Parts: sequence; structure tokens; C-alpha cells
Amino acid sequence: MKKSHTSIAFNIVFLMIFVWMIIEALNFQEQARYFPFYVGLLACLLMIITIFKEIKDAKKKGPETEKFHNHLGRVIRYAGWLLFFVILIYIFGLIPAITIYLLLFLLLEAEIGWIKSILSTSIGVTVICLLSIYLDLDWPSSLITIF
Amino acid sequence: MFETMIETFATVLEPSRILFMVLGVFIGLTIGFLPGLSGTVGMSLLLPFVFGMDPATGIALLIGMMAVLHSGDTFPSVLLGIPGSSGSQATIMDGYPLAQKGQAVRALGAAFFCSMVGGVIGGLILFLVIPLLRPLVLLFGSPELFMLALLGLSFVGILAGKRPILGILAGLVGMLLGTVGTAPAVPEYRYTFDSLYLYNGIQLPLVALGLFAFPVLIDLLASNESISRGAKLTGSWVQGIKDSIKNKWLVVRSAVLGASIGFIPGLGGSVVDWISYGISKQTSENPENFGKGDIRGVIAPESANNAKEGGTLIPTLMFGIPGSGTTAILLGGLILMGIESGPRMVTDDLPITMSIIWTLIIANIIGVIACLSLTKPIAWFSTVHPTKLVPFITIIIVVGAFQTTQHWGDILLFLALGIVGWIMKQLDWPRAPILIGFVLAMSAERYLWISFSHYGVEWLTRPGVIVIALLCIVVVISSLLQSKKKQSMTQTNDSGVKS
Repeated sequence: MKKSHTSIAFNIVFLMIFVWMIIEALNFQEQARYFPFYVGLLACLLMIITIFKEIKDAKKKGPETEKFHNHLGRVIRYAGWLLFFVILIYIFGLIPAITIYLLLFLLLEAEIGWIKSILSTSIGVTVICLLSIYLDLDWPSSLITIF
Repeated sequence: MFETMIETFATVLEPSRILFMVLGVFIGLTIGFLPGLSGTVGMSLLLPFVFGMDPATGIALLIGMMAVLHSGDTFPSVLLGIPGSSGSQATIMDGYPLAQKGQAVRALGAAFFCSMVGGVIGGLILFLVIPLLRPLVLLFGSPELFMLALLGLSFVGILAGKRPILGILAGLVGMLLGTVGTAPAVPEYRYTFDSLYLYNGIQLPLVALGLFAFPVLIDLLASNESISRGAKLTGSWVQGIKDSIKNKWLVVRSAVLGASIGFIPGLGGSVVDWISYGISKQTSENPENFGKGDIRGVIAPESANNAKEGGTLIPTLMFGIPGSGTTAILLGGLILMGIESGPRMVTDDLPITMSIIWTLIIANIIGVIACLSLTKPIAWFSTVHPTKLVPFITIIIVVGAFQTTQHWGDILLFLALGIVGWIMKQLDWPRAPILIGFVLAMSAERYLWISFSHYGVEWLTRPGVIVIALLCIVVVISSLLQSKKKQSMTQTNDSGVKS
């Protein structure tokens, strides 16, 4: 995936969002309409200029060698870990999710031993519990309330 | 006035009050340290405890917490490039690059020292301007406030570097994000998809965490390198203090600016660091170093953000106009202690005002001493391998994001904004202007609407409006000139390399 291609695609998506926001703004009451409408209009205009400029530059430069990201595989893997953590919270609740996520991450990604992983996980869980008590923090609700 | 000042100083220094102040400082530092948690959380936490307290003690607790919020939030801003709270957004621009060079301790030392000086200057300004305030605050009507929002937005160009159009686009994206939720003028819900969660709009901590924290977490892991990229921790906090003393006028100027902007209700709080950063970059002889780890990029916002607290207290105490969520709850706390804000604060209740000023100054000093003593051990985190550090930060950030409105939508929105922020980072979009646009969208729209409905088009001819409009033009033109200069310098360098 080349950087310039991704940039153009990303800008087109944004342009579509701006257009949708303008169309949606037309349905608002008058006093609620003018601000998003005009801001959206200006954004659309500038985005069209940017897209044309990028296409022109891309043609001028010729075949591009710069990749969108050098380690896209790793990015997807770690984003997957974050998503896994959120899913764990949704299913089991915050504390079981932290325990599972930390333990697995430290064992599989950080590759530290079992004892250190368990110890670090315990510290992590304790700190979150203490902070929650100390700062009166709320925890996300979950499907299965274990803790 | 001076007699009262000396008397209240003795009262504030009573051991029981100092103890409560230290407790407030400790809570303020913890909240500042945790990304996503704001001063509003801290104030809400302390509010139940001040009921029935004598005013000086209650004030020691509340102001002690409030004074140091922007000292603690410097840690995540410098070490991780994640804004700890709205006041330390601009610190990441140069603080994080310094940490990447292994100079985190130096950056933190400068930041804390400037925070302290800024906080003290903010307190002094509060003391000095008390008699002059009323006519000054009344000068600012909604047209001037709208123009000040535009002035904040005009700094977008400066932050965009070589790509001013993308900078403006990013600012507009922020403004459009700010329009989500209830419209300020009429009961209309915009872009909410009929979701109850979006009726209140998108919250600033989520935008900041999504755009800055998520990309940092993912990229740190993907790079497989510590924050300092293997560079050894060099420099000491003494070096940071020396840097600050070397740039003493920048410190004083930024602090005065912070306190001055802070007193504008509903506006100054979230953009004061950006404005200070922008002005410092614009007036610098070598602005090209900003954004690459220039210590002045840390000094300017950090001097301004603590000084701002003195400024925000002016409208809160004198007119009962809270400038932010934190000061709104503080107002509630004062009422709980039997203190009513208003002109009485400079006549009958002058000792209360004085104890607030002293607490602000002393808490800043205590907070900075605490932070400086923690600088070295905390800066060590920048040398830890990301696979051992990031999972813990992830947990704190997800929990912090959830505290925004305690709704599952917070976590989902954090992820969605995070993905967009990460793509923007890869495609070299300037993300800071999004925050500025977002912060100013609501106030800009509200004040514009009030201006038109109260004054028609005549508000455009008000002297204050014209002066601020001229300032906006100066800022935009000079940022365009800077951008052109940068482009021509790049071209010259390129042709030099080619030849």
C-alpha cells in the first residue's frame, strides 16, 4: 500500500463525510444549520483542492516507493491486542479483562517469565483497584459480571 | 490590603491547613498524571468533603488540587506524547521529541520550574488586578469573545508547518466534530444518529486521547523501540531550570499571557497553551526548531498553563462566572462553605480571596518540589521496552477514557478516533489544529449567534472586535509568510543536495 494512494483515498473518504454533513445540515433548524453548513462547505472546498493537488503531485513524481507504513503487520497485530482487551472488558468486566490481557501480553509479547508476569499482573490489578477506590472511578458494565 | 495579605499568609501556613493543601496537591498531581481525567473529576471528588469545613481549610484542599493539575499532566505529555489534560496539549509538540532524544529529565525539569513560576505569577496577577477587574471583564461582550475564538483558530496555520491547507482542514474537522450534539441556539440535535450518548456531544478528553494516545501506543509497539529509542537519559532537571532561566522573558511573557487569557470565561482554559506556544514560535528567531525538540516549546505552554489558573479565578470569584467545569464546581464548593462570589470578595471577604491567592502560590511550590523529586524515576519509563510498558498504559488510558461520561460509547469512540488519528499521523496530517478547532467550535458558534441576535451586524464595528480582527490578520499573514519561507528553504536545500 503506497502512501500517496492511501492519502488520496483517506481524503476522498473525508470529502464524502463533509458532503454528508452539509446535506444533513440542510435538515436542521435555521439557527442550528448555518455553522456546520458553512464550516462543512469550506472544508469541502479545501479538501477538493487538496485532492487535486495530491493527484497532480503523484502524477508528477511518477511511481512511488514510499510505503504507507513499514510495519503494517505489527500495527494490525497490536491493534488486535487492544481490540481483544476491549472485547474482554465487554464480556467479563474490567478486572478479569485486565488480568487475562496483561498476563497473556506479558507472556506472549514481552516474553517475560511466568513469575514476573504474574507479579506484574497482580501489581497492575492492585493499582487499578486502588485508583478506583481513591478516585471513585467507575468501571464499564459487562455481559458477565464476575467482579 | 497588605495587612490582610500578611494575616492570611499566617492563617494559610497553619499545620492543619497545610496538611489539607498537601492532600489536595497529591490528588491534583495524580489526576494530572492520568490521561483522560480532568480537573472536574478532582473537584467532584473533593466537593463532598468540604461541606461544613471552615473556608480557609476547604479552600486549601480545593485550590491545592486545582493549582497543580497542570504540573502532573506534564509527565504523560513529555514521556508519551499524550496530553494529560487540556492544559498540556501543546507541551507534547516539543516535550515528546525531547524525550525521544533521551532528554526527558531536562524537559520535565524546565516544565515543572516554569509551571511553578507561571503559577506564582498567576497568583500575583490575581492579587494585583483585583481592584481593576470589573470594568475590564465588562469590556468583553459576546462579539469580542467570538473574535477571541477566531484568534485562537488563526493559530492553526502556525501549527500546520509546511502544509497550511491541511492545518486549516484539520481545524475545520475539529470544528465539525464540535458541532456533534445539541446546538447552542435551538433545541436541535446534530449528527447524533438518534443515539442518546451523542446528545451531549463528543468530549474533549476522548478527542485528545484518540488522536494522540492511540497512535502513540500502536506505533511504540510496532517500532519495537523504547520512547527514547535506545538513547541514554542525558541532562538533569537542573539543566531544565537553567534553560528556563536563560529564557526568563519567555517564561514571564507566557505566564502573563496565560493569566490574561485565563480570565476570559469559557474560552481561555483549553487554548491558552496553544496560543502561548504559537506566539513563542512565531516570535522566535529560529522557529524551524520548534516541533523537533526545542526546549522553548516546553517552556512557553508550561509557563502559561499554571498561570492560567490565577486568571480563571478572576471571573469565578468576582462575578460568579465559571470559566470551566473545574471552576464551576469550585463555585459550588465555595457556596457549600458559605462563601458567595461577587464584588464582596474584594471588600468584606477579602481575607478569603487572599487565602486563595496564597494557597495558589504555596500549592504550586509544593507541587513542583514533589514533581521534581519524581522526575528522574518517572523519566526512566522512557527507556523501558514498549512491550513491557504499553499494556499498563493501555489499561490506564482505556479506564481514563471511560471516565469521560462513564458510558461504553466512550471506549468505542476512543477506538474510532484513535484509528483516524493513527492514519492522520501516518499521512502527516497536523493533529493539533483538530483539538483547537474542536475546543473553540462550541464557543465560536454560541458567541456568533448571540452577537447577531443582540447586535445585528453592528457588532462588527465594535472597537474590541476590530482590534482582535487586526490581530487575527497579523497572525494569519505572518504564519503564511513563515510557511512560504520554510518551503523556499526546503527547496533551496533540496536543489543544493541535487546539485
